[in-house]
Amino acid sequence: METLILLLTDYTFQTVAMGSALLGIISGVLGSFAVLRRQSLLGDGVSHAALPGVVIAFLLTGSKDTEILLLGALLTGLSATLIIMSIVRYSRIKFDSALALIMSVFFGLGLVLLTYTQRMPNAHQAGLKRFIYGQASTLLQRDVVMMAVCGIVLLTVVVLFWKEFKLYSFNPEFAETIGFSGKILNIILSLLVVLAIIIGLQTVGVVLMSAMLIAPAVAARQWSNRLWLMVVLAAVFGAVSGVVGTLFSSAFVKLPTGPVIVVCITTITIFSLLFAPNRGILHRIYLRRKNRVQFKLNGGANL
Amino acid sequence: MNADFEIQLIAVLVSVACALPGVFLVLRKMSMMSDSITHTILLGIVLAFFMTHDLNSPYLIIGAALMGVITVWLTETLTKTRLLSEDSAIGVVFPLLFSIAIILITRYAGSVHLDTDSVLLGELAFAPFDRMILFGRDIGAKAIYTSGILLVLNITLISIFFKELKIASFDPLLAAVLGFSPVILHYGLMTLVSLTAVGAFEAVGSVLVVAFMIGPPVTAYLLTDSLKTMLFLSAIFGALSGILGYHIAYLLDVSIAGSMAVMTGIIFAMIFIFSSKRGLIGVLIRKNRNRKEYAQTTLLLHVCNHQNGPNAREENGINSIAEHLHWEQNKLEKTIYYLLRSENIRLENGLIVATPLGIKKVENEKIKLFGN
Amino acid sequence: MAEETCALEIHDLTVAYGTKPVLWDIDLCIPKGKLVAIIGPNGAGKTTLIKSMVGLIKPVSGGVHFQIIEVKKGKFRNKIAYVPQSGSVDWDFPATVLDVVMMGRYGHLGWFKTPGRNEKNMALETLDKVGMREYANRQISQLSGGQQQRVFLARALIQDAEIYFMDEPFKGVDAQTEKSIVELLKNLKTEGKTVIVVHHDLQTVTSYFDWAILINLRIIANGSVEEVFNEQNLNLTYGNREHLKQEAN
Repeated sequence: METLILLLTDYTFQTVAMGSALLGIISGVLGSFAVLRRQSLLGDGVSHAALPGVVIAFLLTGSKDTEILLLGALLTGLSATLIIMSIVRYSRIKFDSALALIMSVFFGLGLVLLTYTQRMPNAHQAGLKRFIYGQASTLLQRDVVMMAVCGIVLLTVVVLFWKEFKLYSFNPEFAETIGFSGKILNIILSLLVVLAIIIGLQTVGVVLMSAMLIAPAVAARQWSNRLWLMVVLAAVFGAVSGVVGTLFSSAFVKLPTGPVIVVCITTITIFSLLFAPNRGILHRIYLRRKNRVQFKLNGGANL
Repeated sequence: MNADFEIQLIAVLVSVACALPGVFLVLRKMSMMSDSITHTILLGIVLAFFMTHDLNSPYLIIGAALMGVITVWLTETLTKTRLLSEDSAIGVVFPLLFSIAIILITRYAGSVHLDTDSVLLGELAFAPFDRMILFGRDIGAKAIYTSGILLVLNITLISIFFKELKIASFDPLLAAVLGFSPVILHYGLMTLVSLTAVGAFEAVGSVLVVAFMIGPPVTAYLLTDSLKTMLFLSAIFGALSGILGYHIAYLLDVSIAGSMAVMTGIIFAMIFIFSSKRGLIGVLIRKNRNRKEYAQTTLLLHVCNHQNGPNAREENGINSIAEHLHWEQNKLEKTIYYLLRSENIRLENGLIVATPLGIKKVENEKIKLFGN
Repeated sequence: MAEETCALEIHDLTVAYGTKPVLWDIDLCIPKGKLVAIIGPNGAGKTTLIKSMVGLIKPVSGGVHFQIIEVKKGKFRNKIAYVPQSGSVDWDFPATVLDVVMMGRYGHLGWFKTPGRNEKNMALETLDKVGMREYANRQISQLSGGQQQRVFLARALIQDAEIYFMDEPFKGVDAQTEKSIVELLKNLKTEGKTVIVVHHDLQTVTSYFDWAILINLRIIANGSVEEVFNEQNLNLTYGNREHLKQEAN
């Protein structure tokens, strides 16, 4: 118990937990829209494609400031999205193939550039690799402040466009006929999702970032049939996993934060899929049983 | 054999071995499943290692292949509940299994001679250090043999089950009717993909295995409709990116695997942009030409439809027609110019009139379209 | 036909996917206050026609004019209501029946304004009209095909438009619902609204509609049902005898 209190009052722990919680909230909210629009895996592509951007930003500026590196990530993440879209549009290649190809090629480019910086005489590239696996423990207070600012901006935009996002995610064609441009809404929404991914890279890394987007949303969907409740729950699930994950990885030695957070959120997701009232798998089995019993009671043949 | 040659040989063997089963992944729209499998096999390897405590044990491969199949099964089971979409299921399953693997490796890092770097990123440059010793004699790098066996296995299985795979990929229902169980073929293919991923990841890392599995087949898909040609072209593109990737990596002194992956991307980009049949430039040129021709036919048809009608002056007047077609002046002028030059129309007192040639052309178009 | 007021006029409309023309130089006047059926075989361009009317597809040439509506920029959007095929949306979306119906008011609200009590009351009233009030808080995935269609209909009704466009509203709908939908459409007509429906079932054309447009890439016939819905035009539209097969089904 004492160690727990000691831990909770620890400054580093507070910073990291705060950062992970913010990440959980942001990715939970934006992930809900990505999942509902059936764009779950685009996040996987964007996060992998962010790696070369990080290294290019470092090569061009020589700076290791998180903001500058993430700006690079944002640019390559967006261009990968654009390339994937145009491949699908101008050829017969399907979305999933284009996605798999572009994300792995961009990741390869990231590796090439990363090994290139290693050869540079006075460069310490050590700070760059944290984006591959994510290193929550390297979160500084200023990183958390930046995450908070970005988070507030993102959430404000979501609140502002709430009605439009809801309409567009449900029925884009109808939105168009009543005067809400699908093109504009698509751009805004995609931009927000990409931003959310970039913000999370430092904490959980490129490989696991997609889970932060998908898992909270899928879990939240099972508990509610209202969009606003789903989004709030996704944010809560994301935040809780962030804090709990940080707690575990701080309490035990050699427990990496990113993967622990992902295990936490996926546990919540699996629990939700199984036990959620009305929708969960157990509830369905129960319903089937009940129906069968009723069928028999009413004189139906033995099935 | 010197190290340079050995590395190139391994690069070629690995990329061709990956490209072949990749063809079926692309055709079956399962590209992202390969991304998933390449990550989760790590857990299979780690778990098998805990049981055998031997990094060279063949059980590691079995464990990995098994985990690949489990991944597919878990994903499909989740999808079947219809509580979440297929891509969401992929995105829930693989990060979980991968996270567990990373946690295990990190916690027992002292006893496991596996580090996340080599799994995720691979390092081909080190491959020649691991030698195959037979009867006390050095017979070359071990990776040559593992990747060689993998390639032979892939070629053999794909040729034996070529017909079945072909039918099951294009028409699973027909395959079932003909008595080939699509489920067995499906899981067989997934086992093969997992095995290939295991064999390849040591050399190139799990993220980049995806590039070699998907890149060459997607590129070949742009060029051909025949499955055999697609397999053949994929192998060539795979080998090409292996060799070119190695040389560029050598010149710049960078990651070989990364450079090979970038090469797959560059070859794809070249074909995507320049291929005559389905290339971007070709498509755009054709689109533009079609649009021009189409505009001409549309205008001609409009003129023919109205030239004997009561509103001919209004509908076909050179100053008012733009308004009727909702066209910009520029587009209209160009279209009229082309039609005048081909003598399909002529101008009479500011009125566009279709010539007999133009009327004939419209009639032909109509027959093409309506069949009467 | 010339003396009728057109609810909407189509001029020289050509629509193509790639180079394949789907509609070719179509001229059309749809009179105000009619119940209109768009009829034609699969691939004839029915859905394309209705989508170009509501502005979802950009035509190669020509255009659509709404005569009875003042075409001020943006304003006319509130005068048309579009009911897409019910299969075109994900019914597992986390929304209630009330949510979906209220979406019909979003166009009137414009950007950023949020729906309030007023919209909610309107939605409940409209649900009454389609007999779905007791389902207001139900999740949309728990509805039958007929109920889904009624929800979409309510969303269109609440738009309070002048012209209604419906893409196969009777698809996957039980006989009871079909009857009540037809009733609602006839009510709209008596209110002076124009209703344009993509319709599949040739047997019900005469009893449901008073105006018919027969298309197959081009307009085969456009006129009152008595005038144009006959053997000869159907042959032209469906090719000989094919519609008989359909009727036999």
